[in-house]
Amino acid sequence: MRASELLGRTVYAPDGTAIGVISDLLCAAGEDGLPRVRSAIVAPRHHTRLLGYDRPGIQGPWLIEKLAGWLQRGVREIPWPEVRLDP
Amino acid sequence: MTDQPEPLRLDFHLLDRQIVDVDGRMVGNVDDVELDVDRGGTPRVVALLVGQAVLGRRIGGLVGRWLEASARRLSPDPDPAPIRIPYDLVMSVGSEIELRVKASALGEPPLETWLRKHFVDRIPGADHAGE
Amino acid sequence: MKKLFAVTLGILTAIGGFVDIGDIVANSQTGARFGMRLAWVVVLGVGGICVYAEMCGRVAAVAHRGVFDLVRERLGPRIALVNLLGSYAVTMLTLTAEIGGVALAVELATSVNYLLWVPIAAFVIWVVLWRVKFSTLERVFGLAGLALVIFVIAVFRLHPQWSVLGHEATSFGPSDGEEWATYGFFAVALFAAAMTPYEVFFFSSGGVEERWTRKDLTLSRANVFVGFPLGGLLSLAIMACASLVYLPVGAEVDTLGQAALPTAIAAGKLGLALVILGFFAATFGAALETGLSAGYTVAQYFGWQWGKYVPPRRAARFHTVIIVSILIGVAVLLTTVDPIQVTEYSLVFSAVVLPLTYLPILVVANDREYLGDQANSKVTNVLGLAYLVVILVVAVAAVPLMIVTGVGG
Repeated sequence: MRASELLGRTVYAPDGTAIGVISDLLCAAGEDGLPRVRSAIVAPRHHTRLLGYDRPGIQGPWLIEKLAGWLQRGVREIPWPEVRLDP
Repeated sequence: MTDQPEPLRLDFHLLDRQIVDVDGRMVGNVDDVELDVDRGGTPRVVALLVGQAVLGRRIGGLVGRWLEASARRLSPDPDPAPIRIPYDLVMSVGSEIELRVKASALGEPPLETWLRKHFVDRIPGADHAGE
Repeated sequence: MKKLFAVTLGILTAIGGFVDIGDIVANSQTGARFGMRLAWVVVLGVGGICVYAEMCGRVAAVAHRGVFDLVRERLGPRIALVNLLGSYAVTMLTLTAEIGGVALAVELATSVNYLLWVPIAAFVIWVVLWRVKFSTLERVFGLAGLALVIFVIAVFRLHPQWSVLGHEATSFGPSDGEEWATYGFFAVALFAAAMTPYEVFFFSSGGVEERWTRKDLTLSRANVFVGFPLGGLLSLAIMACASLVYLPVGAEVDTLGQAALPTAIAAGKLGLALVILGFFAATFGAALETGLSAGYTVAQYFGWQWGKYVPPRRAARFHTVIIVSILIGVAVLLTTVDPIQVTEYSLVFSAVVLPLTYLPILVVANDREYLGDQANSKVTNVLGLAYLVVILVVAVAAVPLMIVTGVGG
């Protein structure tokens, strides 16, 4: 399977409604050294590249940060076991 | 062990980053990432994939399909395989992805090989870095 | 002492290398039709390229990366592909214009039709790109471009009425008999000439080619903050000369010869020789830079090995892109399309593509992961944002103005 097949996939709530799309996958290093997916970043709208403003370390020009923040409103992190890819 | 940010973000830290070998030579961009799914249903990163066809499949749509098709046409192989870099060859993940090995250990993109053999090498001075 | 020498050399190279065929055409034509009324646009544009080139130089010196690398990383492959297509097309157009400019400069010197020189110039450009070391190629043509200082000398020798020039430079709006739309169009062209995308691709990739490190930050900043404004002064001198000779008689500048004429009037045969040398160096140097930039943009999008710092056989795809681009440029020029017109179109389309080029630079230059303590200061961000707004306005206005005025007609 390729990452591109997971990224952009719609994520559903237990009642079958769509809550958003996967915009990134957070991984933790496993014992064998290979990163394991532990949670998904779900964005309520289409898969916009987040420009990285959702993580610390970038404090952009104020205006772009605010714009990126507005574009990313409603973004949340869902632990992988709770991610449903089918309605 | 790979030196990588914790948590590692697949799209942000891996996808579209430049891969360089142990000598600093450019290998390619991460065009996609190969995952496998373990018994518990958790995906894990197995390898990095580099190739125009891979990129085309990821971009999708009309443009993506054109990229895939032209990758096939530009390669001497009828079914070109992407360059697959097992994740344990990755030394560190930062502004670039550094590998533990030399680029020559990975296999050369077919287009580069073809152009070098049939075109660039035929021009005198191809082995000078203009020094 | 050695560092001072290196810095001075860098500044001189930056001054001589600043002007290309786009600047020559835009400044001459504007001077002839509007006098110095659009001088403020040159100042604005130079400010913009200074702010952003400094960021690119910093990214090259600290993160050792080229600009296009970062475009794909930050905006994603789809948008970056659109960006690549636009940037490559514009860089190709600019390359074509520069090759045409070289041929025109040689025509001025030899009186042999420029079309004959097009393939020869293209071949020599390619040979230089193939064999000559990066830093040598930069230095030689940058320093030779200093011959354009003749325009500054010519301004004085033409005995201008300084108060008139000053009044024009500080008034806002078109001269009598000219429309606001034309004024706007030439403003767009001048701004685009100062901030053409290839300049940042080249400056950042060039920094990586020259293996810049943090120690080179001072050098990079000196090039940018001293070299570029002085280069902008050369542009203004070209505008002033054209305004002094052509505005009073209501003539327009349509050929490279007309752009050169003021210096011949002011300084005779020596002036003419210097201006031809200057035009040749400026266009040849810019042809080298745009040729390389065509390769940089494509190679960096796909992640291919690029650069002159490796032997060509280690970067076969990169060099193939350069060769193919030069060949396309030659083919276009051999259709006998006017190189000056090609230049005008290249400026308009450069303007359109500006936002996609400059936004990612601003984002990346703020990233502490790449730049650590060298990420943008608040001042740089305010300036960067302000210019981004200007860039957006210019990009949106470019094509409508082109259509309404019939390419400045």
